[in-house]
Amino acid sequence: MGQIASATLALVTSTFLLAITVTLSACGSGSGGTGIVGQSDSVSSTSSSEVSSVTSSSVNSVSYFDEVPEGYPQLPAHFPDPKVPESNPLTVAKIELGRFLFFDRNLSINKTRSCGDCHQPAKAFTEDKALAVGITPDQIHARNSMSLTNVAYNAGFNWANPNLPDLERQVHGVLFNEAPIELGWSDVESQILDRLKEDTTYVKLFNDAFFDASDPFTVANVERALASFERALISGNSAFDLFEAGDKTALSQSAQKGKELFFSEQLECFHCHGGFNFSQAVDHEGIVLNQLDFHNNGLYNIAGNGDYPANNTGLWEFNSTPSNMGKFRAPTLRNIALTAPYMHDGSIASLDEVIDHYARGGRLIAEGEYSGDGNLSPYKSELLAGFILSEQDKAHLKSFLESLTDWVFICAANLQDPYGNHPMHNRCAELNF
Amino acid sequence: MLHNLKPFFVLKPLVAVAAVLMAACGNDNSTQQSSTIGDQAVDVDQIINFKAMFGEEPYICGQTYSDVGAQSSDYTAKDFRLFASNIIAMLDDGTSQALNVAEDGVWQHDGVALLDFGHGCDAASDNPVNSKIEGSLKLTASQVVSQICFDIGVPFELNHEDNTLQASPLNVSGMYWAWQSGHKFFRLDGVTSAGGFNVHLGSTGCDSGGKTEAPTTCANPNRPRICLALDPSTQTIIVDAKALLADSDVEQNTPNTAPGCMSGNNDPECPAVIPKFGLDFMYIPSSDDQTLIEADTQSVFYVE
Repeated sequence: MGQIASATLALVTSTFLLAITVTLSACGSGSGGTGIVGQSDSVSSTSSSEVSSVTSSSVNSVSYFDEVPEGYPQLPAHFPDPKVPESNPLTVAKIELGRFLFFDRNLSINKTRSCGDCHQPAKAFTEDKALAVGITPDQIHARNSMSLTNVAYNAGFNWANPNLPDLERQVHGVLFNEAPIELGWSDVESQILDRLKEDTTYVKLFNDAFFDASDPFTVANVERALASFERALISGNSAFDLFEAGDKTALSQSAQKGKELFFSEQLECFHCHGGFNFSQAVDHEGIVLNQLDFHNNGLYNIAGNGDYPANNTGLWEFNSTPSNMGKFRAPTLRNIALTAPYMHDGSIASLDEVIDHYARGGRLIAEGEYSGDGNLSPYKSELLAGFILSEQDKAHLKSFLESLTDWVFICAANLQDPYGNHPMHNRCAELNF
Repeated sequence: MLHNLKPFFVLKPLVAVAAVLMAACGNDNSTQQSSTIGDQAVDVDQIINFKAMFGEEPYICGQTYSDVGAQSSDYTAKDFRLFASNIIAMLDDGTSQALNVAEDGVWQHDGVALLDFGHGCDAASDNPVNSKIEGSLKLTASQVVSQICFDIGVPFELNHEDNTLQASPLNVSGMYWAWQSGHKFFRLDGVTSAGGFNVHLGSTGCDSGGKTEAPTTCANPNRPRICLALDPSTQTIIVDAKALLADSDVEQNTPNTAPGCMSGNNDPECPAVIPKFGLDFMYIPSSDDQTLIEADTQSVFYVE
């Protein structure tokens, strides 16, 4: 199980991080970092072999979450153990390989995009675009890049896919999807694997991570490593968590009032965004009954039929029972202040507007092809009854949502981009953990 | 195995050839005797040949065809592949038997065969192609194949496994059907001056009982069953892309839907495509509106 939250605060200063001095200097300067191999936009970039990596020579006799090394977020004491597939035991070596792969634009066929381009650490592993763009700029993804905060606990993956059993399969989709293309692996995976094999950094990382494989450079192992990195993205060290653990100074008066509003029957937020992860759709070692569920939150009601735009129908895409129209999985609200814009299609720009949306009980689109009143949708969740809040209470609620930001997670040294394309959040330097 | 005898294989099995095949199997010589006597069934190699066409013209990856679709458009074809499975031979004596599909480590596995008429011609590539299914039947000297039936697709029980870990050809990633978990069963890609128009057939409406389970059902399996009178020794199964696109305006694509038809039940381009496979198609443009488009008599596959 996890260790107490305060123990994690010391993580960055540990000498364990000696091997990632490059990353640390990026943290300290708050800028793009020095001495990092430039890979930002150049197709002809050099190999990543000069980038130093975390050394992971220790043998993992205990499970990763029992003894999380410094530099990674600890598993908080109040969090359950995440499920980890038996076919992919979690090790530091796999997490570290996964980190390099995650941020490496060489992982896309035309060397233009990495996982980390849409899932940036400083934005709680999201980005500020409303809609994601893969390697083909003319093919805009229909949906917003999801936060990867605590993705190890997701009961399901993507915004509304009911068929993805684990992160390995979720990753598989990102690599191989064709409509739209994300990283563009379809039919050309051997080219990308060959690219990795020629990189001495990866030779070491793959051999460390998959030491018992005769040829560790396989698609399955790339998927396992990426899934492993994502499982390390544990966030339970926000001001809210400290407050709950007994530090009554951790939350401002405003945030405390906002907390009461959040957990009130008046606002009903917690029905979908409840529990330790602020999402009811969680899975972990203690879960026996499937918790994956989907909700329509009244964003659209095209022509009064309850319809959503044709490329964003939610669960209905997989099961055309009418009541599935517009149902999406409730994402975690942890770090939500960093993940704007909001909703499955990024169609709400700010937290203030999100609160207004829920207060209204659905969105009114007055004109255009999507016109309709979401508040009147026949498929809207019955919990979306609307509410009236004073401006002051809205500010309190927003303060509470902001208190869910976990800077220990955002600034965790071993979760950062080793190539420097996405610098650590500039607050990390001033927080100076 | 028997593959090295391909040049000799004959469909109306001559007893002498059967005897040679038996010998090649390493069987005891005495079986030669019995097989020549008459009606004992022996393994006989079969090759079912396919050919991809655009009307009267052979399919060549990268070639532009004129007069395609409802608006007689120019259409440049880029990918043409399909899975065949559940392959049954009907014999002239009224019996039938499943083709014992050879395991070749590349194109065929677990009764599933990938036909690849050419893809990836954007880049200078030498992708291998495959236009035949190889297997064997247990035939007596008098039995003759008169008809072949097969599904376009991967059987349900194989379709939803972790395809990263499946054996070739089930791990050919261009045939992954990532958004619904499974495989594309049929793939025809091409472009016009207006953009891409692709036909991807696969199971939709797949839903699992729980997150740890593969889908338990698919509302729309989308595995067309094709039955053709065929003498495999002399005839070839034609797959005609032009017939598939005959009623489609290949220069038209509804915004916010897949380019062409990727089996989506709300895709306005699909009602003109899916029934061409001989499949019913439930067109569901809205949560409160659905129309059954009944299957056409399929004309995409025929024998020549």
